[in-house]
Amino acid sequence: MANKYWVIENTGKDFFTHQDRDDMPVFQGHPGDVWITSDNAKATAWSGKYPNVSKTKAEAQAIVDGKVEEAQEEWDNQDEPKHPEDRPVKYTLD
Amino acid sequence: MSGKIGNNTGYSSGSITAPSGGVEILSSDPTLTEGLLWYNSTSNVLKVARTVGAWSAVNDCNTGITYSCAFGTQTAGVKAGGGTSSTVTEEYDGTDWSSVNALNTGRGELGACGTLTAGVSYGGNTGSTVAETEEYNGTNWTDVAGDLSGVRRQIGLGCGTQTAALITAGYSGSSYITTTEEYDGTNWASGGALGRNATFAAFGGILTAAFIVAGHTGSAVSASTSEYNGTAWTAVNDCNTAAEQTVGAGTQTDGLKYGGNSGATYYAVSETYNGTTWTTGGALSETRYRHSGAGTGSAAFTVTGNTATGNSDPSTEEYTEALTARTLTNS
Repeated sequence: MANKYWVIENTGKDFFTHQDRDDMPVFQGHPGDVWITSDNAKATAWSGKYPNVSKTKAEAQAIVDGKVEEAQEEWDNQDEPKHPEDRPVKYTLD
Repeated sequence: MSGKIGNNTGYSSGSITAPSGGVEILSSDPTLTEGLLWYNSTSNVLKVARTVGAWSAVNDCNTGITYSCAFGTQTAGVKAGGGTSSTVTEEYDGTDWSSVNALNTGRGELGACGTLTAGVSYGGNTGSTVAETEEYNGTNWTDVAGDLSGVRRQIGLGCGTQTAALITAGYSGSSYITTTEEYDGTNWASGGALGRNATFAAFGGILTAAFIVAGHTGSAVSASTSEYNGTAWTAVNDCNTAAEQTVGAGTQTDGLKYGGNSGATYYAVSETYNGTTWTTGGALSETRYRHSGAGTGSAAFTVTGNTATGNSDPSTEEYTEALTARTLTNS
């Protein structure tokens, strides 16, 4: 089954619970408040507890890419010392 | 009891009368209790009983490496992983390290907490940042289904138990992480956000009473300390030595932080935390960073990492606090 893609701000404690994780076999957080969940009724119910915007995978990927590019620029402009291995890298969402 | 202090250059001289209170004059050191003050008339020195922590070198582990994790106690400890691919796991019985069954996923920069017979490791760096979670039962590591909600490395170690673990901060490979996750023995849930960057920080305590101290903000090393109550993080007093790649142990009211670095400056210093203030304590026998360790605030260990001796040094040190008769000087 395909995944669902959301933009939802992480509100901290209990934003997602142990039960939520039980209910959604797929549950991943990414830069830009992008969340990937299982595509099931539990995921719809969870996302419905918060202001949310449903995204396509391509839209979610673009948000994450944009945040990584911001992080790369910030990293490049940092004064030394910084960890050379830590320059942010783009990746592909599941 | 009364007496006269002799050979006491550097101190006030004269008769001491101490019928009630005052400094007791004794020919030998008494049974020690914290804070007891006395004058030893045999050695002609003023002494006080203080709990003092000291590090001592003990037997090496079998596989020296950087970025491993450790958990457990000084007499039942575990070290696992390291680098970007190590699965090596070793157990420590307070005397020797023994190689035991390996992690399922080789990785370094991983977090871990718990006991030798009920541990959990999470996150790390395999070359890619991972959300992997594995549990250890004293014999085998088991890959569990409930991974972190996001990939996370450079996370210090985290703290807590196998059924109530805590991790915050770290780095995803694409961004700094300021969120918190809590593990219940099955899967991870969100906790209160730390709200600041802190990679390679030191942790101590339990899920409902934890601390995180020091670490790297992305642009500088930090001395910041925050405490967690199971719901929210609160900023408290800084430690004395800003550092990253340091290690913590103990509790929120009896904590310990040791080693680390700031750029090319490497530290042997340890600091103790009483829940309010960090105090510089006994130093490691040599500088150490990218190490691991675990234990309590009065009985901890550190193992491997980079030291003044060399990179991936397999050496181990133990920290032990003991009530000690200390001679007072006027310097």
